[in-house]
Amino acid sequence: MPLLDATGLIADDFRDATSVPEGWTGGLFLDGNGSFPNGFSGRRGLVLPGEAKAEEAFAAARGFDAIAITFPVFSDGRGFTLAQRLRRLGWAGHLRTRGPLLPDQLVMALACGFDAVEIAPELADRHGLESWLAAPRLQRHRYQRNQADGLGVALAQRLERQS
Amino acid sequence: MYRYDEFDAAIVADRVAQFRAQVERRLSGQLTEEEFKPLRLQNGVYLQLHAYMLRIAIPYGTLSSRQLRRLAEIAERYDRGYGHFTTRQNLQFNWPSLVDVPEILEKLAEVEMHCIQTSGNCIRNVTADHFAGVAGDEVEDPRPTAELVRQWSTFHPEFAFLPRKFKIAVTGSPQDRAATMVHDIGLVIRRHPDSGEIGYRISVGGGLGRTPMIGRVIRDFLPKQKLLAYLEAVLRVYNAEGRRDNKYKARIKILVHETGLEEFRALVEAEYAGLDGPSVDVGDRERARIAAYFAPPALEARPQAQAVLDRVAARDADLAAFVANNLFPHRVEGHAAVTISLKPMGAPPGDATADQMRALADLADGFSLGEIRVSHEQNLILPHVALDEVPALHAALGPAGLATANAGLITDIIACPGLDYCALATARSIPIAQAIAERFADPARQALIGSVGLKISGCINACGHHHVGGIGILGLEKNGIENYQITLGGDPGLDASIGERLGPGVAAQQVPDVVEALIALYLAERQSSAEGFTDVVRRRGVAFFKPALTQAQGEPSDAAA
Amino acid sequence: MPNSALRQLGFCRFLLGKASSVSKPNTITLPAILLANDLRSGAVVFRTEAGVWSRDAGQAQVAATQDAADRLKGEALAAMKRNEVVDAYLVDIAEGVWPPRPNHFRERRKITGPSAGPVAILAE
Repeated sequence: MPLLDATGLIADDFRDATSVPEGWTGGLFLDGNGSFPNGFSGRRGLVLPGEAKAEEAFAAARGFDAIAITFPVFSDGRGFTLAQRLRRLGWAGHLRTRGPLLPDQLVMALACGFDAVEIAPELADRHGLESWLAAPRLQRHRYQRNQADGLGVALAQRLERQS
Repeated sequence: MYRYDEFDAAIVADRVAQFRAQVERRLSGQLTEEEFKPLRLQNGVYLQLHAYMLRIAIPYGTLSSRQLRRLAEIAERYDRGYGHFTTRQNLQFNWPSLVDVPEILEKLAEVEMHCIQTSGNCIRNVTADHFAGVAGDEVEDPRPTAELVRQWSTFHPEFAFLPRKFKIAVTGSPQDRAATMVHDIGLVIRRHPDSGEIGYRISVGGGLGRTPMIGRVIRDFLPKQKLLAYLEAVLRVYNAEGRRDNKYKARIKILVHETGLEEFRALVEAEYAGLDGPSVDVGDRERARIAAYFAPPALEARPQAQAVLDRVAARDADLAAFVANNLFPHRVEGHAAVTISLKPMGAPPGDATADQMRALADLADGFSLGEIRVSHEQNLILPHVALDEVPALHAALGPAGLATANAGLITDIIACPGLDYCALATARSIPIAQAIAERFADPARQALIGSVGLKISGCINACGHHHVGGIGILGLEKNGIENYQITLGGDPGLDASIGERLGPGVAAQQVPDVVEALIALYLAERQSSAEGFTDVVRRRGVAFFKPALTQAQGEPSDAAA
Repeated sequence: MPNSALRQLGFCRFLLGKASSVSKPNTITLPAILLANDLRSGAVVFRTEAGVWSRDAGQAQVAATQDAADRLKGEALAAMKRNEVVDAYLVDIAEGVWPPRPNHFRERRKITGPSAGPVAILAE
């Protein structure tokens, strides 16, 4: 499915372990139920629910290269907090959202420490890629300081102006 | 008052542009109503019974005359010539069309106003004491704190999809006029008893609605510089742990209640200890920049002004009543904050027409340094009026229908819009308020009764704050007819209490009779006029007032609708 | 990490966004009209015989049978999908009264408008 980061559409080098295409050499995601194919030596991704406890999630992800946090509905914002906490605990690997987020939430996800947002297939057509690609350009500044995406922080810009 | 710099302006402008695009995507069907709903709510657009409703933020209840004039223009051009001031210091327009909203937002942005986060499961308008910067008992003006929290909470990327709405209130005075104890977070500015430094007492989990609760103090003293980091910790715990399975159990008050205060506090303190506070907080320089906008106005003491006013008022009974009820003492001698009551006889509480808004804007320029306040009691205030100019002000208020001398009296009723407007309502509230006000119209009788704190909600969501009314009235439905339950003994201040149910509900026509009977019992029982209605309820108990209901019980009632 | 450990940590249990709803028995009190809010203006509108939306309750199409009511319901869903209206639903009305008088006072209020305030005069 389409994968977006701050720059736009990017190639997805992960698939789900439940649907591995022939000859796939990229990474695989699995959730708690699944298992990696025998002899798999690619990058390993873990799928976690947004309501997972951060310390447990961080521990569970040891040895993995990527985490996908699922949002069951776009209005359930727990995944944003989980992402913040994982980064603070020291998660340095790939972090993406999974689930029916709206284009309007792309910027929030990136600010909370996600590297990328999976576009749910059922939404990709209806919202149109333009909405997704346009999203990061719609907000030039932010008030909050400690966010991951490098969007211009009003406070920093103010202080710069004053000095 | 705060003035936007280029960054504030850009942030609002970007949001207006974004919402314009979202409206287009909704109209084209790219966004379903289910997807659009949280987006439009976060821009203050509700769907009500008869039309859309637009809720405009008035941060901490402070307005300039220029802004008030713009609101009047919008009322006339895009609405039906009036607006409604709410119990969260916001303004509501009841008839905008969706297609006009982007243009309305642009007109608002031109005067540094917005509708951001006035609805939705996010952090809402931060409210504050409407006498901020005026009251002599103030430890510190709460508005710089409120403005700081406004900025921190605006488009916070982590907290835009909370389990439910989140409301924060700030008081700078030990006399809590901001009802902080019934907010999700209440901030009381105080001095540390030893060091004298300024900080906050923080309460969480207050709220009205279906399960009213008084907030619990989670931090007795937090140094001022650490506020944003602490708020972030509270919100993070709430976002992660708040219930999402049941809309009626999703507020932080339920989380605090179900977790227990000690455990909840431990969660917050752990989160606070673990996050990098200095990277969240803004530092002294930014705080000073914001505070500078709220520097006390250059008013000089006017030692003769009181006497001048007294002399004029002695010859004018209407003015005397106005002075007795509607003036609040100002920290600068010879001045007062003047309450402009929006509770005149025969009009919905909290409403103002475009003409009235314009008239008041002009009067603010002439008498109050161009500044107006909105109180959560749905009145307006001119905060900086010289006492010797009050007669001229009063004379000008009269023709505009803005001179009702009932501030704080029994006819100064708080009432939500109710079933006349609101899609959530179960019964009407405005006609009830009007009927009661009519019954108690006599000014002498009102003066005798004093303050009661009569508050009316048209449904269990309690936007009329009935739970903290000395007399609270809740509009429900019984057997297909509007039915009103009465609670007694509520209080919104620091000594907050939730009212207790008096008994079975009564029909609409019976409500004024019941209130009359309650007042009669109160007047007969009170030990002096200094003993207020809630004081008597506390002393004698609700059972003492039950006779007020017995007359009304069992009488046949007609469906009025 | 062994899969069994992951299972122990309970990561298998995803919260469902919405429980699937069981369809309720399809009985609507009759007779009924269909009202909604116009998407663009927010105004209360009524589905008419001619298959359009009118602000005049007197133009409302009445469903006197369950079949007719089901058809109206279908038109409601279609109209919402076409982004004409929002919050469309059937409202039962009193027999033999015209213009239609909803049985519940809340829906009567939608037709009459506010009973109080500067616009109450419009509700006459």
